[in-house]
Amino acid sequence: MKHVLIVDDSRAMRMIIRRTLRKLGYTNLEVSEVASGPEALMHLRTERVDVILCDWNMPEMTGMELLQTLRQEGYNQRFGFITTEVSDAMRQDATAAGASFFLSKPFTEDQFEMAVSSVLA
Amino acid sequence: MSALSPRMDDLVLDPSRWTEAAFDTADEVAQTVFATQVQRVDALEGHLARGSAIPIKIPGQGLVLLGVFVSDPSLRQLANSMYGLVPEDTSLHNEDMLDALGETANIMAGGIIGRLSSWTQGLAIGLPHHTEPRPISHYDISMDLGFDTWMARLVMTPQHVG
Repeated sequence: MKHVLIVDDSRAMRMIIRRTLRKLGYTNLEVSEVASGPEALMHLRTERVDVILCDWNMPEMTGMELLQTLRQEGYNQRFGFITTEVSDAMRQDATAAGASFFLSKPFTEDQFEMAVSSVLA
Repeated sequence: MSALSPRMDDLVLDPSRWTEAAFDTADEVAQTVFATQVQRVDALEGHLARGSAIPIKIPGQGLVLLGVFVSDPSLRQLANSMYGLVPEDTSLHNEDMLDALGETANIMAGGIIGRLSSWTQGLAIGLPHHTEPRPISHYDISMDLGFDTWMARLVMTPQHVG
């Protein structure tokens, strides 16, 4: 069973991501959620996590800062961005930092499936 | 919609581009997030008691504040839809409903800058914050929208910085 961590400061968006995973048949997952980058770091120190689905634009610590911190600290979990703000420069930076995918909100179920299937398979 | 003042014309702003981008984004959000259709309406019913605003930064020029305003009944409809609840559900707390409104504004802002990116580069969005509705000024670009069972007013206000 894969362990997925959703990182988003919006509870509504965390709920949408959970619901979309369920609708797409990803029922054999252990899904946890936190509202910020610092909370994600604390969670990772005590819990197993295989895949991180993360917002970009958050208070305290952006998703990019979280990804960079994780890599600096030796965490190598699969990491995907689910975010409203998408530019070519952001995609390039995210890929260079080790992100597996970049999905923009709002997303359809097909778009979500296409983005997450490779990291959840 | 009203004309921008000469001072505001210094900004890289063309109201028709912003409204076109905002409507197209609202249409996409309506279909993908709320599984409904959106249409422009002449007037909104009820008092627009709730609002969420988010800054869209224009490099070297200033910013546009995008506000999404709804009535209390519309806020509940919007939030219930976002959380996957039936329209008549009353279990969501105020904080959760405002979170849904803020995320709606966030998604709207992202969609708008994506659509404007071929026209002007480097637009970036900040974090949403709750705001009180206020009378529309002559600087504002506004649009009333109907989302099947709920309604919203989008207000875009250009502002200089510094």
